[in-house]
Amino acid sequence: MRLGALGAMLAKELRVRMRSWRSLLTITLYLTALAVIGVGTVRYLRDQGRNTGLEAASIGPQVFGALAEFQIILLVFVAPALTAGAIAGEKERQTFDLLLTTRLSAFSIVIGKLVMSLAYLLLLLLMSLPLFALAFLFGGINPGQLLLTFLVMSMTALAIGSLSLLIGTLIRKVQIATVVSYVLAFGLVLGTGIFANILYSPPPPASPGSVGPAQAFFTPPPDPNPLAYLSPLAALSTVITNPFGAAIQIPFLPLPNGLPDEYFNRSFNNQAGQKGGPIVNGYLPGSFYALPQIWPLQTALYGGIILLSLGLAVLLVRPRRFWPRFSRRRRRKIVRPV
Amino acid sequence: MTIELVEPNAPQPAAGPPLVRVEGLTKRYGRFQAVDRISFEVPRGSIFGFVGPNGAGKTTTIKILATLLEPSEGLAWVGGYDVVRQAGRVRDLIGYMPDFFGVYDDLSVIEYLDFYSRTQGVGGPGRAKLLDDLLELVELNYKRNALVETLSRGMKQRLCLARCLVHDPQVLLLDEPASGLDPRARVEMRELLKELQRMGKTIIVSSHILPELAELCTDIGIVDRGRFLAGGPVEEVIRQYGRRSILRVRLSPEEKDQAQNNRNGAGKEAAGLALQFERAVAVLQAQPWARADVRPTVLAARGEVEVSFGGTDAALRQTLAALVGAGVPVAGFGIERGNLEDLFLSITENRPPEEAEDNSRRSRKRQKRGQ
Repeated sequence: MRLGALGAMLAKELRVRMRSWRSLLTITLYLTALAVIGVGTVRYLRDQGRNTGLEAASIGPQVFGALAEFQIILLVFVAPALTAGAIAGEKERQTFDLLLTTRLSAFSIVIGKLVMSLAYLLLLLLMSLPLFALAFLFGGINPGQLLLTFLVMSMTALAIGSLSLLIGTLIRKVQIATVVSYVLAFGLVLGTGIFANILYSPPPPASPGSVGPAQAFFTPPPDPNPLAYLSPLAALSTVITNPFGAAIQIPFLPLPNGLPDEYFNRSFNNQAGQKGGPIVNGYLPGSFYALPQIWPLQTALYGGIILLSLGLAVLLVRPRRFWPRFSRRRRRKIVRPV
Repeated sequence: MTIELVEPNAPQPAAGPPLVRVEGLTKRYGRFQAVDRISFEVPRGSIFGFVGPNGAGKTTTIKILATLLEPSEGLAWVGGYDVVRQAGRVRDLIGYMPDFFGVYDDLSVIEYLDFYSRTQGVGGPGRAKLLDDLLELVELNYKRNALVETLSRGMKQRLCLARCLVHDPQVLLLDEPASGLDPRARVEMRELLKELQRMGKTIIVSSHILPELAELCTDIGIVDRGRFLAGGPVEEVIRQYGRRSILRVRLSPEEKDQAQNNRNGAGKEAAGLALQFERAVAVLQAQPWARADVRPTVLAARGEVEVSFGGTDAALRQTLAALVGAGVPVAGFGIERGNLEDLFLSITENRPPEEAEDNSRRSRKRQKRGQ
């Protein structure tokens, strides 16, 4: 029965959504933007004149990374708009009370709203897959990386969606709810990286002479600021690595991901503990140890955000269900009518 | 304008335990008391008119019954289920139509009903037939594929009513169902509600427009400033609280003509007519329903005696028999019933206007907040 009701919501929402010209326009604009980024990156890298075989293998991950990074940014733009208005819109349109008097439980309503909003987002993600195939022309990306990339992206979409849905249940006005959701989404995706960068304090340099170049080479990069573990961009950076195992800095739009420089172009420290110049054009074979992975903790944290937001949203949809015992006790104090 | 309150052939509520019961219901918003210890019962099969000015607490009470608000104090049951603790069961029994409601503009009429029937768990092969029947009932069958946004306000109201009915609820909670409708649509809505009552539904309908309810309701509850002032079967409430009905006794025209002739001199006949009037007054005063403080008024020019009447039909019959038995030449005998408007004004007349103003302003604010 509950599934039937959820199905009803999903069918209705998709029907309504796909009927409006805005949805088609959104899909078109979304894919156009991604295509521009993908093709632009390829052309940019080609114009760099790195045409050796070694460089070609690194073009694939860079294109893939650029697309993934921009997909995340586009998700930040699209997800709040789709989900913030899901419940706030029902309230504003005065259809919410009607929903609440049906057999739909608060859980069904919240999950139904999230699923239907994200079904559209999922559609956007699926439609972008052929563009990601562009990266496979160059090689350098394996299926595991593809899966992990989509895991990070899905969790990001879900987290932004759940947070926006929660905001939509707290704030009745769609416009205000949407603006607040955007602020939160940008804070989560970009703000975490920015602040992790600002707050990062590098470990004290080893005393001169104690660490030779070779030793530095075998030392894993230092831990980033903890905030970086909330950044999907940091997670992607450790998933999409270049053929030498180093994180990728997107060539023409380096977004703040909160990772120390050592994750990218690994460099030797010189005798004085200062960074030396990158060798081999920034690509240092780094396969002596695996790059510390950000994505397991990041997806776990986002899972927490999702559960917390949805749980709160379910409670807030029917606010009086908060303290059943408390309210029952209060109800006993009946003043008999005079 | 006088409105006859009860049609002689109006369907009467079936006997049995009340379907809706409210006891000491109170709702506070901060320091503002929207509903103040309201208690009433709605018999099964009745149309219960919830009457009161704007901001009286009608919407709040209906929302509590619809499980959308939790009372601050007090209890309410629908079909024996507590609206707070057994909200799910209550929702199965009610069809709720709010005073202001929206529709999903991008859906067609049939898709709209289909969606709500699925949310109510109405499934199976019978659904299409059910939706057809509902559209038939609210006379929207010819609009089934039209987008909801293209419907007029009256049609949207009827569609919303059809939506309330998809799960065949026992109780309909209709908050100002006729607000914003033109006179024709109002009549259609009224007929629809009567039809639903014939189908066995119990209907709670709120309104601040009294004539709208007068023709419709079997029971009423009058609220003002959150307080329940009077309630029960319409006739009983009127008898108890309202301006009483006026009983007019007209003496025979011959006597009246005589009286006019006599005014020009013939004192003996005049005295005779006066005697008839006196006799009529005496008979009326001797009736068990007569009140000592209200004397019947003699309207000599019209040949009528009128008196405030608060009895039953049986009392009316007895009175006529007594008049005839006493030799009063009765030529006309009629009753003018008090109407709901008089009743409402007489019940709420002691309301200080500035408080009322304050109350409705707060209620507007509350409505703005959407509570």
